[in-house]
Amino acid sequence: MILQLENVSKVVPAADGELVLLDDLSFTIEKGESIAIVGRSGSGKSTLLGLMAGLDHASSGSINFAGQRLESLDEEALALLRAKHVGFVFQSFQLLQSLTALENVMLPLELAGGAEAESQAKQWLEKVGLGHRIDHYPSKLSGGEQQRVAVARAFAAQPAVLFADEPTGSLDAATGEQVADLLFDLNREVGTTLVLVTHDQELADRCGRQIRIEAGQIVTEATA
Amino acid sequence: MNGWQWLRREWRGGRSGDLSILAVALAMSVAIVAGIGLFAERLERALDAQAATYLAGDLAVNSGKSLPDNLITAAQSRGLKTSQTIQFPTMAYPVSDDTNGILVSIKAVSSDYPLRGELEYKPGFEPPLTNYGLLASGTALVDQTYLDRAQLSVGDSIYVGELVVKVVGIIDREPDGGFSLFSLGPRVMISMVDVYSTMALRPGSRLSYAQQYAGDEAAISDFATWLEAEVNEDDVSIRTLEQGQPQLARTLARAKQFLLLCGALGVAMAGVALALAGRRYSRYLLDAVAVKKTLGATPKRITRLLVEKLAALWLLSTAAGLLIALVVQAGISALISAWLETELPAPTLLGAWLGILTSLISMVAFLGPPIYQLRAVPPLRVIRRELGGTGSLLSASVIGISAFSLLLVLYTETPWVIVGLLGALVLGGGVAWLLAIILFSGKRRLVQASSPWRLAMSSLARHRWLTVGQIVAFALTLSLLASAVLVRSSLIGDWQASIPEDAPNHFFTNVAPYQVDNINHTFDYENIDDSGLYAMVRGRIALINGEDAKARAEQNGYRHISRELNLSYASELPRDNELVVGSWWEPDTDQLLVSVEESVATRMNLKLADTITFDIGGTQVKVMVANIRTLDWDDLRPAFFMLLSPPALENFGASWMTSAYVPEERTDFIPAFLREFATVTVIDVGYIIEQVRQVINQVSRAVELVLGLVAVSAILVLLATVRSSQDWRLRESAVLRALGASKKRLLGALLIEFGFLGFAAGILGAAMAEGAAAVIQTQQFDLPMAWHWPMWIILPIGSALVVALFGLLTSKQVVQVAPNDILREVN
Repeated sequence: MILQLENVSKVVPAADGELVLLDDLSFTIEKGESIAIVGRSGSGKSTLLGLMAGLDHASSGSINFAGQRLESLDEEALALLRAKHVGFVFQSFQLLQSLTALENVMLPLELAGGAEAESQAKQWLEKVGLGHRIDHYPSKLSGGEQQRVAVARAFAAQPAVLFADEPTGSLDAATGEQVADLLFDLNREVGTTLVLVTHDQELADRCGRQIRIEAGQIVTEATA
Repeated sequence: MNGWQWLRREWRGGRSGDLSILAVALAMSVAIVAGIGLFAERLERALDAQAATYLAGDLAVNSGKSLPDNLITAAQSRGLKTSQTIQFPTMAYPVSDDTNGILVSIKAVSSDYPLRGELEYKPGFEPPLTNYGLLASGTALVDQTYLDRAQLSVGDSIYVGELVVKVVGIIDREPDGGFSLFSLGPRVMISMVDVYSTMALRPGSRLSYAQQYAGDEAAISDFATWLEAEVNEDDVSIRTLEQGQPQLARTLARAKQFLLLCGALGVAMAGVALALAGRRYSRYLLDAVAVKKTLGATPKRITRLLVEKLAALWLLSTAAGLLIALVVQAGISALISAWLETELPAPTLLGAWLGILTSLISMVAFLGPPIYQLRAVPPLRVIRRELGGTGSLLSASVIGISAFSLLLVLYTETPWVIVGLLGALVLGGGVAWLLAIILFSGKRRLVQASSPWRLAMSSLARHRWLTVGQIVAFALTLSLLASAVLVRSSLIGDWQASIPEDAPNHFFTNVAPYQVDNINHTFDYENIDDSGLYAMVRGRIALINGEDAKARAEQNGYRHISRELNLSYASELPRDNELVVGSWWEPDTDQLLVSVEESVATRMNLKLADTITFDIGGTQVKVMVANIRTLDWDDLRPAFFMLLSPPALENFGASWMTSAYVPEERTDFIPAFLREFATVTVIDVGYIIEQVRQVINQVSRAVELVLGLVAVSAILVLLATVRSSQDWRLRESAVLRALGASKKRLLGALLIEFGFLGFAAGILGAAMAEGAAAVIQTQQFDLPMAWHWPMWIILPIGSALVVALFGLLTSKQVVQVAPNDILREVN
């Protein structure tokens, strides 16, 4: 078990009282598993991803990540946990525009203090098929290429868990499929746990397990 | 990874625009302050040195009586060097022709004279001029005038009283010669050791004793304090460096104030540019920090990276700024060193420190708040973009304005500039706020159609607060720049007006009463513009309204007036004098009246109809105050604190004087005049005028150079302001283009948008500049207030054109690049 949620809720203040984003969720994710969290826009799946990845605190309940209770960790400790165990791929890529493809991939390696950041980053860019564009800035890359840089960046630090938030959401069908292939291939190769948030059923079907969320609650949980 | 690497990568990776503005703004604040500081400090020290040459020492005393012996001892015990001079009028006769006597002004000088400055002379005789000190016993240096008049040449001997001296050289200029209107006749300079041999130091002789002192600043200051307590200032006047050459000193003091003001304005603009570029840069950093946090950077690490990055930016900019400062101050120094007789002292680090301090304050105050907020950006921003912000504009403004005030206090040392500028700023902000509410309240009507005009207005209205912010930033910059230009113009205008082309360049003194008519006739005939001849009678104020005047003067802290004064009389108000209170007397009045100069009247608390009793050589003359007038001390015309009606003074034996402008090409006039009026003393002050005029020209150029730097800061603000709205402007334009708007329409809309911003800022800026300039001119520089109507036309139109051009240039991507690329880039 790498990740365990027990009675996790997220409530935010709203104009007319409180808004419940997530309501009493409990489930467990095993090491090496690939899991899709699916649901419509606004169902709470991105909020859930934020909580699991330690980007935000739950209002109540407990999240156990690699043996650590996230609710007991402060910002400093959460950041260290992310540096050590977590990789991300976002719908909007989240590449730093002022850094080249290579520098973007080097970033997590440098933050983790790796000595071989540059050569490792180059290897990862080769793996995603961008070895010839390492010195290009994000604005000069296509959407698919940017997402491939993001995938390389996510795997570069060899995280225990890789969170992907609508990784193909900004891409056309063909490009989306290429990126998805890359994601699953690398996941298999490295043995990372993959937590994927999507409303794309085809993408979800490629995962070992699916959790469907509606209005902040788990409605179904199915294994492929 | 460290902050330095981060900075380098950002620089290469397309953030160079914002980073350049930040770096250049920081560098400019260092360059302006350090450049001006380094220069001002060097200038001040050079002026002191210059003034010292006019005193022939760092401090001098003179008196009509023999000076106490203990002064020299006291000065020497403080490690000061000393010299002494005695001046008196006597007759000099050529040894070859003892009937050809001429009244000369003897100056006996001790061997160390002059302690500061140089006595310039043409030596024309062997053996060497001196065997010890300046003048050997039995030798003399004389004016060319004397040789001309006595028809002698170098090498001839003359009788000075009972003493025979040989003329060994011709004096070109003596440091403390200045131009005393009472030097009766041409100069003959002899050695102090010979002074008693002249047998001319008799009781009743008109003697002027002086001592000069020179040494280090602390010792001089200590000695000056001791002197003030020791001597009776009625008998002994103490002359300090500040009094060395008042006209130059005042010109330069104002120039220095102006340079410091420019420094403050330049720094304020650099601050505005920093704040604007800093906000935009920190908005970009929001995402960068959120991504880094997501990737595992701890808040501590983020803080460290940011601090390292800013420190690197600051160090680089400050180093560049200091380099620019050295070049700037060297440039200004080169401009003005031509007229300084002394070398400019080498720059010290003080000015540089002030620059470094300024850039540090600017960075912390203007860049600190938005960057500080970044520590708190939540990593969740990568998913929810609405999280995290650059902090409140209000608190950033408060910090910025406080820092701005602090910087102003540092440079201008007077509160008036701060009052003027802050007042203008608050006023401008308020007006802009009102403008936003009024102008954009009808936005619903405006957003519908798609003409360029409406597109532009709707865009401004949608971003109403940003628009207001931009207008205020532009207006502030324009007003700062305009204030500097306005004050500069007034200042230079005032300087130049103080010395007109035809300012008198010769003084004619020692005119006997019987010569007055002839001289007037000569001036008329030769077409020489003179200031009118005035009698000079020495007199002391004895009583005011029947009470002891000395006590009254001391009570008012104005003891000088109780010494002997030059009195004169006139039937008409002299040229350049203006009546403040009362009226001028009838030309043929038989009343005993006096016209008093305004500052004396104020200090002595004199009012119309008060009576003043003068003691003139033992005779008392009682007159009534008929009017109070102002006069211009700078115009090189005879000027009198007390001018009496003719019946009050006519009967006293007087010597007369005047000044006149003798055109340079009339080289024959003065020799011919002297042949005709041999006893009149003519003093050429042309070189003094020329020197002051040169100083004014050079300092004006220095002022303009500094203004250039301020203009660079203004351009920075313009760039930063246009860039601050560039992202949304590009995005919105790209959307409009995607929806089918033509290039022409978009460019038209951009042109109108920026043109409107510039125009509104121009009007507001003109109002703010007018207000600020009014306060600064009247309170800081003592210049009259003036209304600058051309600015109200030039500023709005010029600013509309420049801002529109700048805006179009920086936004040309909109029509040059595919909309999709823009959307991808700005997203």
